[in-house]
Amino acid sequence: MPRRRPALTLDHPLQRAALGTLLLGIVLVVVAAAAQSLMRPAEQRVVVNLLISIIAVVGIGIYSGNTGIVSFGHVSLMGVAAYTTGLLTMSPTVKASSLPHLPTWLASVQLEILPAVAATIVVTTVVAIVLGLPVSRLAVSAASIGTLGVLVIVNVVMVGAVDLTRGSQTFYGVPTVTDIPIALAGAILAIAVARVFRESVAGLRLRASREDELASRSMGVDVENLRLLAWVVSGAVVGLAGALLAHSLGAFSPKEFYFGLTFALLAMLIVGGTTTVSGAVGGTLLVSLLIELVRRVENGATIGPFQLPPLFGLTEVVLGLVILLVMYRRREGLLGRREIDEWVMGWRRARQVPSEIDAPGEQ
Amino acid sequence: MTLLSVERLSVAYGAIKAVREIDLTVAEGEIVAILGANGAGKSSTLNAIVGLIPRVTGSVRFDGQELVGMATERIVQCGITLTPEGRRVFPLLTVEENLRLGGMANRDRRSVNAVRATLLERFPVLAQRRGQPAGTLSGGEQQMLAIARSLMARPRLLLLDEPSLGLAPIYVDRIFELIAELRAEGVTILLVEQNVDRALGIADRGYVLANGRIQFSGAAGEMRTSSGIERAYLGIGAA
Amino acid sequence: MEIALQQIVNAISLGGTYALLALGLAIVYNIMGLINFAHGEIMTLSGYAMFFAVSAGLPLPAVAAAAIVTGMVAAIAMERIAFRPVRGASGVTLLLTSFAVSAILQVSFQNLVSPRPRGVPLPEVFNEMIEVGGLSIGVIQASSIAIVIVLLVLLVVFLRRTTLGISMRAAAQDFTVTRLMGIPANSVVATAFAISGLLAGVAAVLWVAQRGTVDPLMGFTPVLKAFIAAVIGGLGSLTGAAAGGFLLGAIEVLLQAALPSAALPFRDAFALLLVIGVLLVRPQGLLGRRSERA
Repeated sequence: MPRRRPALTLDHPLQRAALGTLLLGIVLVVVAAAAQSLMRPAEQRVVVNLLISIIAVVGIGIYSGNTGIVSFGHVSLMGVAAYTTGLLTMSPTVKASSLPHLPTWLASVQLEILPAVAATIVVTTVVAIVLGLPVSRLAVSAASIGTLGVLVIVNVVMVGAVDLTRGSQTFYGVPTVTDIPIALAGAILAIAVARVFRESVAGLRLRASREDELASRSMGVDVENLRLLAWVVSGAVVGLAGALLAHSLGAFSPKEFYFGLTFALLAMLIVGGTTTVSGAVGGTLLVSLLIELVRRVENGATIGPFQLPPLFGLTEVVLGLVILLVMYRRREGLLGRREIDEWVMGWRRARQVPSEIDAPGEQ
Repeated sequence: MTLLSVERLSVAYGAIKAVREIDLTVAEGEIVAILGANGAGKSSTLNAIVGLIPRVTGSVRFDGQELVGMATERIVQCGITLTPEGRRVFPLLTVEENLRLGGMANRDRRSVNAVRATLLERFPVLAQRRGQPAGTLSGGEQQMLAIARSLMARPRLLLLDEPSLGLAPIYVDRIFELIAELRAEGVTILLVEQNVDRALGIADRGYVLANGRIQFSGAAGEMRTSSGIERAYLGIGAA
Repeated sequence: MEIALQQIVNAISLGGTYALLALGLAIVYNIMGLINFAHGEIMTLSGYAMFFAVSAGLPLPAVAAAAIVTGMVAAIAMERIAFRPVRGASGVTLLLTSFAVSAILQVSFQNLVSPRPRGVPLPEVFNEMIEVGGLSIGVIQASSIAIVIVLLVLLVVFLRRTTLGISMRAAAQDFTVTRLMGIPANSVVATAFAISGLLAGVAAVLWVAQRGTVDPLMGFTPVLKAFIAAVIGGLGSLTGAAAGGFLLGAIEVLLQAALPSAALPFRDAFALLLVIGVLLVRPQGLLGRRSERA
């Protein structure tokens, strides 16, 4: 059966990455533009958080999606980034009163946002390398527990390093400059990085190792170092998220970067589909919407004639149930294993591909 | 009397159809061989019979009872055991413990010890190594153990998946001798083999599978002389 | 010298609790490939059972029994309700399922009982000291150590001598072939969970006896540490998991004694780092075997 060549072929991986980024970017630009023009500033914060969540979830996906290893540790890297950029951008006056024991160079420095965030990403990347070295050597199931260890260790350090972080007390005074355009730019950048990584040789090899570690090792794939690479790249991306989050919240403490946020972000990744960037974005949009809705009800709400009592923790229960639902019914996530560009191209080629796979040998 | 009757059995792994609507029967006291190249669907057939494959269509009747949809543990209790491909003894358990577990499927609890004693007599090498971890046995010894373990259940129908695969010739001989002995003792055997010659030498009837379908079947003697088998193995022509 | 011996007793006592938890985790992991994040909640539930039993005025043996029975029932129920639908799925799926279950349970405890710690007053005898070979050891610690040793021995006997125990060891090596032996998969799995629940219940008793309170997150931190310890010792080996638990207890007590006071808040971080450091040298754990499913 002769096949017509489609007008647009996506044979080169960078083309796929570009198309995917473009498609997702358009969706986000629409959302952002709508929010910017239609919402009040207080409500716009929600969209800023949404975009930052996208950066974080896409970042986690760079690691978890390509290696198949669930990571509990990335949120702690966000925390590292948040405190770093905070320390670099807070005014010396505030630092003098809230953090009296800072080393002099740190106490007096005050950078503009852009260089601060850049420096923060560098710092986070270094921390990621250090923490990633042992984790990347672990076998797959142990690695997840290793990332758990990272989460706990970094949390203990953040709480213990009172001179730098105020320990478990609120760290305040961070300039709140993150607005929708900045967060949007960050999100599109993160998506681009994630797609390029996914389509790169490294990404492809990692995904092969995710499917069959033994086979890919026997083909010479250096699994440990590729996992380290994925961890570090994803660490840089979540570092960006952490920095932007710090500049959105203005004040935070170590418990913001512990299990609660980990749970929410993992739910977003899982619902959309761990293995694709489109899944990360889609899942984040859906779950963020869900969280917003549940939050309204959590503090007690009136539905028709019924007055609901406050139900604290309802968000966690709903997130938990959502994760269970996905695990029981559609493990690969709502968006499955294909990127948005693959959906689009697939739809165009639908009629030309046989729909049944026969056992080998038969025509 | 027909002991096992398989009708329109199909097995699919996702979109890949491994077995397509095959029919086969095994009469009591027979040895029936299923032959075919790698990937033809032989193991899938045995696994489907014994209930290890969740989504199977068609019918498998054992002594009149429908097995499709039944859990493996219950099918085994009905009197069918499978010695799986690759032996799959419990490597860290001793020979003795492996046999003990095999005996769990024997519904007549009082005979278990007697059966074990008989098997250890029959397989002296196992008696010698009773306290050793099964993983330390050689390939041939492990195959003996795997079959002995299956026999601990006193099955009416024994499914053997590639028993001679990867074994030294002396063990291959021993295995086929054993199969003949078992038939003489009244055990019905359904045998999957790639060693066509030996299998047809011992079987009463055979089926040749290729691409999930039965290409042809017949009495073992006839099949040995026909050229149809070569064609099926080499994938020449479709059924 | 006396201080050193006292510290050793502390280490064994704490390590014993971690070992029990790590064993519970390892048993389930070995048979099902499931890393049960919600194991901590089983321990917490057992703790709450103790609280209610004490509040009801029950004597000590009944309180302990309440904890243990609750642990076993909770574990079996958890498997039946939450994990049965994903049996046989990939390790990732199982891990995430247990993570979700854990979060749901924690929030439920906070709402249904109380977000605050509740006191569990225990008999005076627990505050006393006994003389053992010239040393003064707390009754609680001495009995902790004794109980842990007895349990470990019983577990070994069970796994080596009883048919059910042998079936479980078999299932850990080859689950499918175990079913081919006519051994019901559900029984094996339920037994594994029952044992892990029992161990969690005992751990809860020892934990609450030493601290005197229960709270919604009671089981969370010790189980977290037990996880990491089990990974160090080698998740694939029961001995390794137990060894990992004792090792972590020893490291924690050692660091508590040896670290300068400025560094004390970082004790847990150091302990975990040391433990992750072991993994750099032996990724399969101290006693684990190199296998595809590590």
